[in-house]
Amino acid sequence: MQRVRAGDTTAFAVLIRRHQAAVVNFFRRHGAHTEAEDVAQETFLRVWRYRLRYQPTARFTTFLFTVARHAWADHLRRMQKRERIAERVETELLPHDATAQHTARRRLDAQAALNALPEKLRCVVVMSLYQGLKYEEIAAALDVPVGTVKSRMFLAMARLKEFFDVEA
Amino acid sequence: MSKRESTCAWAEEIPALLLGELAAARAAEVERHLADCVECTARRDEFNRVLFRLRALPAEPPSRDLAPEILARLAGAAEARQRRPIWFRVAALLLALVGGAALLGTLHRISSFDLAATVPASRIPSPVVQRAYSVADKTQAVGQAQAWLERTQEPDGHWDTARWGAQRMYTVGLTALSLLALSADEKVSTEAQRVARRRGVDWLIGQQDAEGQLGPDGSALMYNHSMATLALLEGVALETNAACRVACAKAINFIITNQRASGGWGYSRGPSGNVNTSITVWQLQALLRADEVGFPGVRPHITRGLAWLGERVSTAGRVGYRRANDFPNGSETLTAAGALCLLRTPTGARDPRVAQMLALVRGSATQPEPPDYYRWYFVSAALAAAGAGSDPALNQLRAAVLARQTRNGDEAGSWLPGDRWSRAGGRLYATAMAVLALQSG
Repeated sequence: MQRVRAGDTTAFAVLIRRHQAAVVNFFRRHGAHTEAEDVAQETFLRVWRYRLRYQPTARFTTFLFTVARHAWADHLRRMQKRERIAERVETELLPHDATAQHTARRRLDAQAALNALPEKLRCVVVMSLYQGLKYEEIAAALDVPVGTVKSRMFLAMARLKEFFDVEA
Repeated sequence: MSKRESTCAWAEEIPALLLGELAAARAAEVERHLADCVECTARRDEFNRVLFRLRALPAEPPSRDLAPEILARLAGAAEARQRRPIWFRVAALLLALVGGAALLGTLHRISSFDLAATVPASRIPSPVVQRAYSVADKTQAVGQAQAWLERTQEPDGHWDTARWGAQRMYTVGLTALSLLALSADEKVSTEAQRVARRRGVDWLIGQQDAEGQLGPDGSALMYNHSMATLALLEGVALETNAACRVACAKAINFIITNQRASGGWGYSRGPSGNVNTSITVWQLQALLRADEVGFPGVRPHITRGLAWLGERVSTAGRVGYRRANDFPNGSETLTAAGALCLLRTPTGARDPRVAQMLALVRGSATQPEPPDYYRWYFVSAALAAAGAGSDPALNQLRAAVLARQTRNGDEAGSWLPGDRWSRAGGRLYATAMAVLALQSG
């Protein structure tokens, strides 16, 4: 990241390749499908734009997912796609044969459960479970106290349990 | 069971315990509590099942390496900055100094970023220098663009989307748009352009499967397919090519087969599923062109498609995305695209609803910013189809299109990406749509 801060685009390409899968999956877990890679691109462009604001004392992934969260929030505001996401996951992802449909359906259940969470709760789950951020890092990325992260995680788990109970 | 229903003060510690967030001493404390608390033990088991299901979601790798596209966009942004006039750069420097001073006063830690408050690049007024539109400028610009397209075509006839900052899944569609741009003015077409077109048409035919589908399955399918069908139809219209005619017939049949019962088309193939205006207008354009160049049997499907489209027009004359008054990405582009199609009905030119739509389209032409090649194309095409090819509003739009053309360097003749769809289509999309916008009428 030091070389990226100095404007080295070769180092930036290395950094993108190291983190692109995690960033794309961050958006997919938020319910994006075809636009996940677009928003990931926007995230990395913002990382470049704000590279001088990165404090080397902070873990890079905290900085990265702070930027990613804002990019996603902007994307939702701009595109107002919340309704269309679930519909497009259904229409674009469901394969035709029965076995593959069953597997896909189970994945969609988990994704649908995440989609059903309010944004604030989903973000905590995605950052913790799929991005491996610690509570302290999530708190820094979301600009909230650690206690808030803890209570949001509890509420998220309770709601997800209810969702799966109803689906079963 | 929600937290409010919980009677145990330890409940919030359970997810933290399961996720390994607790220090060893605290974890041991919680474990001891669990041994004595039936409610918390039950909750731990429930949460464990939730986590098990969530962890079953597989990580999905990106469909492609994003680095080349991101670096291309950075280079595009740098190019745009260099083209800004000196007064703009001075003003930007002053703003940066003032803003930077304010920022330094407030940035103390990472979480203090206010990225959400930043203005999206697409909303920043374009700094390009614009002058009055002239036919001579347009002719020169289109010629330069076509020369750039010829230079950048791959030997096998397609255009390399990743090389030009586009997504690979749109390779068929972007190759088709590039061919349509190369076909835009047959009167001044060179032999080299004709050769490039033939290579491109042959490549498109090579992408077709037995069912007539052009391009791979996925969310880009119906865009790719309809654009490629249009490009093949131009191949038929411009030259005698038996293989191309056969491919067109199969491609048209594929569009007809995948028309929904409602009359519209959607992202996926098949007789059922969601439909939307954006996909539908491209299929309609292909069928309308097929009818013009003499393919039989398409008119009933055009009629059904136009009827579906007509039901998406609001009382104010705006065209919705899935239904009337549904505008997730605004209404201007869809209204222009809808007008372009509805004008082709026998009574379209006299339809007061179409007149209402065209008034909105004309208003859109008078406000070209922010850059949006997709909107520019449909607005230009709709106004030209309505016989307003010399309207001052359209010339104003054309001047804005011309102003964004790259004049120097290796990419001279192409168009600068940077609108809201450039992330999908990159420089190829920008260039092809700009040419098609200029050539309308």
